[in-house]
Amino acid sequence: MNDELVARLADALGVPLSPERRAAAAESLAAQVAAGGGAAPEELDGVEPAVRFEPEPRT
Amino acid sequence: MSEPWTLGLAEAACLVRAGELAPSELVASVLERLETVEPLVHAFVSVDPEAALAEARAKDARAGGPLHGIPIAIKDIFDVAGVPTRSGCAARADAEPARQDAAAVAALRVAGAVLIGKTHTHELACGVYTPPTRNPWDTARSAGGSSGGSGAAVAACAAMGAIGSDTGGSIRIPAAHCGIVGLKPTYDRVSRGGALALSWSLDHVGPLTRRVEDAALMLEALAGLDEPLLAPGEDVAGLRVGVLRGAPFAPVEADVEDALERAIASLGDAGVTLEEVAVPALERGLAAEFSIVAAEAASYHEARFAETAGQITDDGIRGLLETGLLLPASVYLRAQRTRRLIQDALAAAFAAHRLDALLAPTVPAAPQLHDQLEYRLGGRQEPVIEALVRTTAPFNLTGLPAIAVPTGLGAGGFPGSVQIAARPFDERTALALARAVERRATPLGVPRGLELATANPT
Repeated sequence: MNDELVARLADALGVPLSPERRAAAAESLAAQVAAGGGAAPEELDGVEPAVRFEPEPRT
Repeated sequence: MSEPWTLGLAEAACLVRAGELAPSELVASVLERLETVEPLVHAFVSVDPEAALAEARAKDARAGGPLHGIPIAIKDIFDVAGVPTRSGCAARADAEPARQDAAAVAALRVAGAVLIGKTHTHELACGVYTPPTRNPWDTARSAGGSSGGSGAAVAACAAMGAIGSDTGGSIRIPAAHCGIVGLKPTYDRVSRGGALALSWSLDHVGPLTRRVEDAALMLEALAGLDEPLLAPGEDVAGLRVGVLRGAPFAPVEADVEDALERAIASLGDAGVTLEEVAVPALERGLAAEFSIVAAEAASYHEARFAETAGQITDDGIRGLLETGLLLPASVYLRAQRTRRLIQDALAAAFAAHRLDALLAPTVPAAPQLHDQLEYRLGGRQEPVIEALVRTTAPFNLTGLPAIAVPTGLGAGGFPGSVQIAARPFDERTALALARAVERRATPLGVPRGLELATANPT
């Protein structure tokens, strides 16, 4: 994830990102992507997202 | 009778109901206390003493709901009719007064509460410091966040109770740092209507109080419950509690380990069966939490982001919103799927060990200094926000009710705290266990940082 790529992505998505903020955004985005939301895709095979909250414990 | 501001919320409510304490007397006393301590703790964004006193006087002559005449503070992310909601954000400095109360605020009014003021929040309810609020135990330290103003106000006895919001610990972290009780109820137990959102699927609304019974009373009002959550003689003997010690609840400071041991001993004395429980999936919680918050917060603020980005003071929050707007959908969805793994793992732990509740440290360390960015824990440096959120976020991701309760003073001079989480909608069990811990803990007394103000109440 480099500054130029992040700048182009921000432009394409209409996200206001000034030049002096590109490096920090690139670093943060790289960290988020690396963290991958907490699990690798293969670990999540067959797992549905918790987009609908179910308060009852599932066993 | 001692000064009314020293009373607990439930105790004061009882005296008001019995006609032994007038709402105006109670509110006047708390406002006087507020005036004394506010220059030290900076908990409030705004206070309207005249309006609060007028409302209290109007309640003197009549009976009311369970919080009749009780002075309550409101975190400044909740709409209060006629008052601007600034959410700790410069971009909202000129906000118009809200036209109507947030649902939680309306519920408090229906119960008879007197709203005395709005409390500071970390900017956009996203952070663990809450400037300019100071910790009543040591004003050089943070009250925690993001409901830090509510935590400091209640700990300093400048309000009998307050409401806050908790997306990744924002009720429980200030409660732990300030030595009070903080209850994050089950997800959506209390309406989020009329409150600034940080992350729709993680935000919870709940009370901060000085005593467990006070939190129960406030939650009953906030959630519109007909039955009391705490019975006077409720027995916890025979309940089964799982103790969480591994990551993400480790590493912690020695005082935090001591606090956990005290709580274990207290619950054991009360006849509770305790068992060590390992739930490795919880280690994934922090990454899932941060991705979900980034994506949902960015989406919530997107329409105004181009105009307001430059006015966001906290660079970390601006960066979080920028990252959230650029984050691939696949990462957000992976986080929501990880969240499902965590929900299932905790549910399985409850079932496999036949648990009624879980016990864990609330936070891993003592309150941070205002400019402190890292803790040293387990021999390594850890960002303060990651350290504080890693222990609280699991119960946001799972939506389980979790209550932070003080365990007494630690060797370092700061209050200890543990959190007790129960099954969905079983706040009753969490409260009963928290009260068992509270009853066996040495009372904290007046926060050290306020001793001078207490000694010289001018």
